[in-house]
This record gives sequence, structure tokens and C-alpha cells, in this order.
Amino acid sequence: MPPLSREKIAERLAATGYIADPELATALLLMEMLERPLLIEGAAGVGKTAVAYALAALHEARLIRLQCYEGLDQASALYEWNYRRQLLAIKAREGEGGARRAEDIEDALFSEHYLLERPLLAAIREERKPVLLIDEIDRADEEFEAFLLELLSDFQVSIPELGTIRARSIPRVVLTSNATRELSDALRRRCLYHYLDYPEIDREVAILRARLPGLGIDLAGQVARLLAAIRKEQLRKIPGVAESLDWAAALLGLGVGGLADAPEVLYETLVCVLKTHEDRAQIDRATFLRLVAKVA
Amino acid sequence: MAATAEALMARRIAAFSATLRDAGFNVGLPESEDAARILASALARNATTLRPALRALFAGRRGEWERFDAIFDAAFLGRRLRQAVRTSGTPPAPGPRSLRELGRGGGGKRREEVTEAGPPDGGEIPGDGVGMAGGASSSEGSAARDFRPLADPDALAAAEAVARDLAAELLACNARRRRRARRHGRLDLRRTIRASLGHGGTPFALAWRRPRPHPLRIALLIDVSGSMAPHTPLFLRLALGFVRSAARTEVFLTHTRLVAASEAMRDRDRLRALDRLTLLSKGVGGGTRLGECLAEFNRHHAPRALAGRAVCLIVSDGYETGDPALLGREMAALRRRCRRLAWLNPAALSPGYAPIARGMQAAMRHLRLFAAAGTLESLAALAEPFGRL
Repeated sequence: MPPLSREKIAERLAATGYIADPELATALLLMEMLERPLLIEGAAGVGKTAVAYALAALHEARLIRLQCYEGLDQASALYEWNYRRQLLAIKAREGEGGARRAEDIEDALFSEHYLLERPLLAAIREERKPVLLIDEIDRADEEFEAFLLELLSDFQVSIPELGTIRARSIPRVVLTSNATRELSDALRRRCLYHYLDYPEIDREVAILRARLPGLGIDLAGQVARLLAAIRKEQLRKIPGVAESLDWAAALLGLGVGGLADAPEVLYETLVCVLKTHEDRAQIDRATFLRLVAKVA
Repeated sequence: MAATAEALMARRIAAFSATLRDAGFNVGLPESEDAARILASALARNATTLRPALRALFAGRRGEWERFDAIFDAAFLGRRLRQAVRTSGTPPAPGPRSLRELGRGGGGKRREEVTEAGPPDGGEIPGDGVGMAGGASSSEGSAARDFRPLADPDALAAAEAVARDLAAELLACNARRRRRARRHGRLDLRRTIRASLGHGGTPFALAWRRPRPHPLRIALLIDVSGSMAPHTPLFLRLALGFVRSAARTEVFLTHTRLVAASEAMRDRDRLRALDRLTLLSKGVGGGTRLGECLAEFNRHHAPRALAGRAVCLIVSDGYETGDPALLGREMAALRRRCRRLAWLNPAALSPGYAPIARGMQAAMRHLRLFAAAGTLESLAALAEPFGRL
């Protein structure tokens, strides 16, 4: 199958509910063309993880997610033997009488049956190209990053008891990072890179409308413009797309037709958007009403 | 015909890769090969599709992502390179070039002249004077300051040695949590028991833990305003030393504005590093608006420079021309992000000093360490308090 054009990709992503800018569509196209992983950086809540979900929906592929954390190791990322079942099997066979050869027992115990697949192994053993999402790679240790790099370049794993397992299909790999730790140059070089920024107003309107079909175009426009104005204020935690979706859903649920109608209700629903005490104090009633008056 | 077109393309990609490498991008052969594939595809038909494609391939971090467009436009569209040059931080021609020639041994005599021109430690930089006579001034010193006297090799070496010792104190810091170890260290009971499952509960394979070194990030905020002028060379040398001995150091110069100087200091060529500092220094020697600088630092740089465990060193005499209340607020904000907050004050060296300057008073209660430092000896004496930070 020849790769889709980037307009086609953007269109199909939109059909799955993800509104991508042309640059992201290009990056996804290159991912297909060059078979490289895609590293996405950006502030929290701008939709980095959602890219992988949308990509999986677009290709109707299985999404395999590996959430990184400090201390993540091979046993929980790649594979592990199911010791409990192995022990049970040994105990069960003791009763049968020991007529069997040791090799047979060994083969039986170290067979696929007792192998616990973790996300990375699952991804390379999948028959159809899956989407492998390695979320928040910056939280994993540097050693794990190096190990991952090896896996991403060879797409094969050797398990001492079973031998080398080669990838049946090269997965589409999406890595996300919040930049809490500087990633290694080697990893950055291996990957395509996309920086996801807060969406511009038009795109945010499109996102709101795609995710919340009941939202009127006027209200969506107002919410997007107000969010853009709030993001310009000096906040500690700048609200992302996730917050604007929450807020729009809240307004929809409360039956607010337009921002100008119910500024008081609006002010109370700011809990969806401002997540720290200082930010709450920063955008007080007067500031908020001024912002609303500007956009409504 | 096709062969020539291909050769032309290959040459073009090679030239573009070289440009990017000069601009500090990390570009290797695999990237060039993939670039060739992109140029051969439909994406290469016009610049609006080619630019994001090549950017996704070549850029590896946000800074590169933002700089890429200008370089691309210059290479493929023949636009003027002005912005690309500025952002890639290449020093402009005349001054630096002659200086670099100096550095490479363009005549021993001329080199000595430079050394002679350099003041001894704590000496005054010639050509200064703004704000020295009338106390703190809020005007921006407009002339670029010449930091070349900094290049005095002996003073540089001495300051670097001190910086190395101080940095070592800050880097020798272990995380509470332990990491896995091949052998030696403490027994990791949890993992030993977990691993024993595979042997039917007999702990054949022991797992170990050892302390995890967790070097602190270092952020240096150096006041280079007029009142600090006598001490500026020393602290800049110290900063150079810190940058060299601790990888995760960020340096900022503050006067009336905040200037990020780490990139320039990290230049492998020391003389070029000083040249770049000279370029950045436009405004050095003016007044101090530390509050505003800290506000900018807190907003734009602190999330990165002080991520995780970090120590923030502020070097200033505390003669603030801005609003002391703002300074107090920003210090409080800074302390919320970084508990290890230290202030080195050269003015405190003089006998009978009391921190009564308004700026100093506003900042005082947020500090964990307040120390007098203005000479190499006083800096070297800081090793012990730094170890306790």
C-alpha cells in the first residue's frame, strides 16, 4: 500500500476525532515512509498521547501502551516467565510419577505457554503493524532509554530460553516526553521529532467541535478565544487542550449558551481550567470579566 | 541525465547537512539518506511540504525545531541568512576572528598584550564607569562590554579549579532512592524474593542496591550591573569553570535584563566563548533590576533550569533599583521551586557590612545560604557550606 498523502492523513485523523496541523500530518507521513519512531514533545495536556490513539484508529491497528516510570525494567517492559504457573505445573507433575525426561519438562516449562508478554514484546510479535505508544519516556531511567534504543533499531529480542524473536511487523512507534529530563542525543537522532504547541484558535475550535458534537460554533469560538487569552496571562500551569475540552463539556452540561449570558456561572466553572491556587488568585473576578468581555 | 540530477541532489543534501551541523544540529549519515528519500518523494514538490518534512527529520529538540525554518529558507529558498546566523550563535566576523587568531598563537607578543591588559583578580575592567559614581542606576548601559581581559589564562585556571571543587561538593549528592547494582552494596530484599520465585523460593540469585548518585542541577544568576563591575570578571570565570565541570549548569547574566549565557559559555573554544559573551553583554554595567530579571527567570527558564533537584546561586550585591516588593515576591516564587537557594554577596566582604539594602532585605528571608564572596579565597572557603546545601 503506498503511503497516504498528508492531506489524506489529516482528513482521516479528523474522522477519528483528532485535528492535526499539517506539520504533524507530515511527520506521520514520514513515519510511514522512513519507518522511524516519532518523538513528540510539548506541554502537558496538548494531546501528545492522543496522537497515538488517533494513529491507531486511523490504521485500525492495535494500540500497545507502555507507561514509563522511574525504575521501569525489562521484566515489566519486555517479558517475564510466569513463575507461579511454572511452579504449579511442576507440583502437578510430581504426582504423575517421574517417567519423563528432564529436557521434556524443561521444554514444556519454558514454552510460550508460560511466557508473560509485556508491551514491548507484544508489539514486535503482533502480526499486523501495531501502534506502540511509549508514554513519558523522560520518566524512565537512562539505562532503560539505552535498552529501548537497541530494541528500536533492531526490532528483535533474544530470550535465553527461547532464542531470538524477530519482529513480525515493524510497529509504528510514538514516544512522548514532557521534557522533565534531557533525553539522549542518540534517541533524538533515531526519532523523527515534532513539537506540539498549544493549538491556534481555529484549530482549537475544530478540536472542540470534533470532540463535543453538541457544542455550538459560537460557544466553541468564544471558549477557544478565551482560552487563548488565559494562556497569555502569567500562569503557573497553563491550561492545555484537555482543560479546554473539560471546560467546554462543563458549559455544555450546564446549558450555557454564550459566554456573555452567564459570567458568574462561568467564573465558578474555572475550576476546570485553573489548577493551582496562585493561578486562581491571578485570574480574579475582575480580570476574568475583562477577558470575557474581550472575547464575547 | 538522471544521474546528474541525482548527483546534484546528493550534493545539495550534503551541503544542507553541513550547514545544519554548523548550526549545532546533530545530523548523521542515516539522516542524510532519509533526507534523500524525502527529496525524491512527492513532498519535495514545494517548500511548504518539504520544510516540515525535513524539520521533523533533522530537528531533535525544541530549540532546533524553532531555528530550522530560517536555516531551511536560507539554504533552499535563497533568503537572506541574517536570522539563521544570529540564532545559531556564530560570532560575527571582525573582532572574534582577530581574537581567535590571537588564541592560536598569532605572535607571542600580541598575546602578552592581552594578558597585560587583563586586570588581576577583582581588578576593574577598563572602560567602565556607568553607575559607579552615583550608586545604582536603572539606565541600560548600551555599549557592549569587552570581556576579553577575562581570558587571562592564570586567573582562568585558578577560578576553574575553585569552581571544580565547589561543583564537586554539589555533585556528590545521592538520591534517597537506591538503584540496582550488579554486586556490592545493600541487599535488595524485595527483588531478591521476587527473583527467587523462579527458583521455587530459594534465593539463589541475590539482588543488590546501591545509592544512586543524583547530581544537583546548578543555576547561576550573576549580577553584572555597574555596581558589581569590579567582581564581574571573577564571577564570569567562575561560571565558565562551573559550566565545564558540571554538565547540568545554566548561567544567566542579570542587569537590566536577563540574558541566558550558558550556550555561549559552553563553546569549546574558550576565546570564542568570551567573544560570544561580549556579544551578549550589551547592557552590562547598567543598573540592577533584579526583581524583573528574576520574574523572567521564574517564568521562562526556571522550569527547565531548576527541574528536579537543583541549587540556585545568585551573585549580586543586592543594590536593587527596581521594586523591592517585586524582588521579594519573585524570591518567594523561586524558593517554592528550589529550596537550595544561595546568595553570594561581594559587598558583604567589607567589614561592618549589614544586609540593609532594600533588595537584600527583601530577599534575605528566603535564602538558605547567604555568604560573602568576592575573592578566590572567599569562594574556596564556600566548599564546606556548599556541601551542606
